[in-house]
Amino acid sequence: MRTENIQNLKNLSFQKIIGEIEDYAILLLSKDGIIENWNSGAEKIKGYKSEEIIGKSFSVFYTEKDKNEGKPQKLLALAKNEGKARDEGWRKRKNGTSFWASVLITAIHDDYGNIIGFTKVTRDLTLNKAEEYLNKVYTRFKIATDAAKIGIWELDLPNHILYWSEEISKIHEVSADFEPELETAINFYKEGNNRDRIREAVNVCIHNGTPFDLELKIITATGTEKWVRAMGKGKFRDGKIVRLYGAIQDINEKKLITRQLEKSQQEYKSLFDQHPDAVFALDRKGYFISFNERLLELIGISPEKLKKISFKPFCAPEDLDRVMGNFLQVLEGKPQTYQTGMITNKGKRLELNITNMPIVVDGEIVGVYGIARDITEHKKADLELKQSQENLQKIMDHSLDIICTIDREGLFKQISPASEKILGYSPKELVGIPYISLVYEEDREITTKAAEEIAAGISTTNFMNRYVRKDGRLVPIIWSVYWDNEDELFYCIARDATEKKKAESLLRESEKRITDLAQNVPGVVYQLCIRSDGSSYFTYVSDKMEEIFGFSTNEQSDEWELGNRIPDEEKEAFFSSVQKAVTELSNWDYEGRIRCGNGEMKWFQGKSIPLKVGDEVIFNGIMLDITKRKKVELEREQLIKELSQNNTELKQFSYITSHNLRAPLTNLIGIHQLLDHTRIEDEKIRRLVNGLKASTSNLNETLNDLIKILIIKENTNLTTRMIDVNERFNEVKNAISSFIKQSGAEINYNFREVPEVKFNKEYMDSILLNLITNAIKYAHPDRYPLINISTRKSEGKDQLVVQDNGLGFNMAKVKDKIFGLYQRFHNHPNSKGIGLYLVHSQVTSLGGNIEVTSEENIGTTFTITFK
Amino acid sequence: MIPNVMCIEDDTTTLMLFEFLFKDENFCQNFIPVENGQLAFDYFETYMKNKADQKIIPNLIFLDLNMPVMGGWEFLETMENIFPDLLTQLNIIVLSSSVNPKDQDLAKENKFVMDFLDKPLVKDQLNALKQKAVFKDYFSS
Repeated sequence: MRTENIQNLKNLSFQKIIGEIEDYAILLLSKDGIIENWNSGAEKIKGYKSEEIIGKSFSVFYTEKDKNEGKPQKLLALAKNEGKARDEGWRKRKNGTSFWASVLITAIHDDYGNIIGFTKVTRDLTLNKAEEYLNKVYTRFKIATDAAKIGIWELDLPNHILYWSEEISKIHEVSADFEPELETAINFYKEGNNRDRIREAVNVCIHNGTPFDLELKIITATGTEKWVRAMGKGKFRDGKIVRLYGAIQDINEKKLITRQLEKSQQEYKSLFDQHPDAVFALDRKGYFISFNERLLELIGISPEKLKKISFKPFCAPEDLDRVMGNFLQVLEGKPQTYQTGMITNKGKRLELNITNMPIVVDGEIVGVYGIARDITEHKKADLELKQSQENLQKIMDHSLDIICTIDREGLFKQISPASEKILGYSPKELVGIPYISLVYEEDREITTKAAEEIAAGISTTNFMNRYVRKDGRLVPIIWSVYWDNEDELFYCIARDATEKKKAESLLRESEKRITDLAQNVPGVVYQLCIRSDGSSYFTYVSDKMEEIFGFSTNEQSDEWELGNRIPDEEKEAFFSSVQKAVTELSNWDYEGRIRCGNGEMKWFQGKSIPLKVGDEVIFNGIMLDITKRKKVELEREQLIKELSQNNTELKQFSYITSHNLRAPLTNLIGIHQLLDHTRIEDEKIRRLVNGLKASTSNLNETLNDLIKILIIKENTNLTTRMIDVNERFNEVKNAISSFIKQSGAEINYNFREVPEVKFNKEYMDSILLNLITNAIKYAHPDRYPLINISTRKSEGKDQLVVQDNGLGFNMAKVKDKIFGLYQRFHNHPNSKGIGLYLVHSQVTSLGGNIEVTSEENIGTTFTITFK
Repeated sequence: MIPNVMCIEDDTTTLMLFEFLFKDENFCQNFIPVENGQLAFDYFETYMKNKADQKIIPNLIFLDLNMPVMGGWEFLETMENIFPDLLTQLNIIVLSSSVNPKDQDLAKENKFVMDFLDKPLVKDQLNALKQKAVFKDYFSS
């Protein structure tokens, strides 16, 4: 059996033997290092299965660094030359983990001594290596931790004994020999959240080993607050946690820096978010990475949507090419500022001012920052400004006055074309020359002074001086000047005052005329102002007040002295007349007495036209001394009174006289009526009685005429009515028909135009009778009388015209006397000189008038105009 | 003819002329001349006191205005005050040579005055009176 076993064993292929060795990776490499064979040890150590790795170069086990250095090739070359090559170093497993390998490569030769391949035996020495490494690392770690202000600690659990390194003592600012306990260590943490968290973390770690890594605040032994990073984890043994170990790092500085960083990040974020303009970041393709609220507002879009799109759709189409060009420039590192139109999400166009700059991260341009300012309003305002500047220019160009600016040195800066007309110089000729050089020499001083005062803010904004025109003539100029401190310019308007000066001198003349007039009229000219409360004051009183009435109102302008000078008994009438004029604004006309300065009473007449001016009433008026006139008037009134008295008495007397005359006369007439003359036998007596009769008749006629006159004068309320003129004419004509017939007179009449007039019937008869009989009585001896009688309308009034061809009057001689009483112009036996006087009286007593035109030997025309 | 006509007139010549005229014109049967208003009033007073007396009421009175002692207007006033009923029975014609228009107006206004005639009283005026309704009957035969 044993032999069989040995035989069996011998029969085992070598390959099989190697294949089962697990602690070593044994492989067969080709001459070129290609893996030809693989055993289970290799699989265990390196993690590859044979089918995965056979055919590949053994260099896959080496680190990148080793590969780059050509280590696998070097080892093969060494083995080729020396027969074998040894190496220790990190190799990589299939899963990427490293292990510490001890490698022996041995060359395999054929029978002729040629190398046909290699064996490679690899052991995993990681554990051994690790220990050695740890020691090395620890030393380095110590150096590193000290530099990094990291201290390490350990907590033995069963007894809760805490160790910590010197560095931790330093962090806690305790002495190096400080012996910490768990509780005291925990109590270093700031009370509250910090301490609670560490306690909890430690407890949890003790319980189940959960590692912790916390950033917390401690209060050091000296009372300083600082940030630390506390790390810890549990160490298990046999499923139980036997101790905790970890590190504490002083991260105060780092924390502070971090805080600082956070703060500055926040600040930058604020700058971004709170920026009044739209701020945004684009990637290299122009897609929005980030942006602030303002951009969202401007575009009118949600942030979710904006994140997915590029800026292009919002760019105004006509601006897109230019904007893209700018964008590319920015991507090349050249910041750009430009204006562009933007179309909002709702299709509204906005004008934006864009500033773009590259976003540089680690030296690479990764995108573009943008700041967009909405200048739509600004642009509009710009346009408006431009418009208003144009308007201003128009005003300047067309102004009749010179509009100009003058700088501090006194040079014309800008001047409007009116200079050509006013000064004879074109604006071109004037710009840049000192304004003073054109001022007339005599006026230079006042001009300079005025300019200084204006610049100093003492407001003499208007003044006048004289300029010398290009043609040498002087021209008065009124200046209106404003000094602008900011612009350092005088803004001036210069007006040709030639016309104004003329007007002024005219005004002065006319003022003088009016003053002369006011001072020289034979009365007081005044202006009195009456306030709404009734009080009053003189605003003007001419000097004549003093001269005529001997007092002046100047001293007490607020007291109506005039009123006090009115005698008491006339005061009421005076003031009520004033009051009436004030309330009705009707003309004031008052006559009364006034006490003069010397106490004398004078009569005055006050006249004025009241004018309402605001609350006050202005009396523009005159005051005349009418003492003389008044005296005469009073005398006349007295005289009239006496005369009327006399007249009444005389009238009475005349009634009685005429009655007393008539009474016997009527008896005489009666006697003659009853006396039968035929029965008087005695011739002489009969003739005497006849004479007596004729005289009686004459006396009666005369007396009757006189009485008629008396009655007309007395009878003022005669009745008038519409009278048919034709009817009255016929009546009268019939009454004197034999007289007319005898005279051979021809009478033409026409009353068609005015058939009826309003008049008294008896008077009409009397008038017609008198005028017709007169025309016949005073007919021309060479011809028969021709009488034309007619009515007509003239200026809306009725007229009766009686025209004859008689003797006529010498109008120049008799004009005033024609209608007088007892005026006889012709030596005619029956002329009593009473007829025309009666006609005139009758016409005028009823409000009409009578006119006469006449020419000697031609005829006379009487024209009666009815009321 | 009118039976009784009274003339109150101070001018005796005028009275004489009335008498002749009335006779010539067959104007009245009985002519009663009275020389002023007072006498006329006395006449009527006597009549009123003693109606049995021969005094008779005239059918027509011509009254002058300007008279001594008592004028025409005063007479009418007195009569109106004392014998108003009698006054209403009288036919009074004022006959005056007054040219004062006031007198004419007063006559027109006075309800006791029948008419106002201007002196001198002439034939035509008498004839006109004869045509008046009041007197017509006296002249009908």
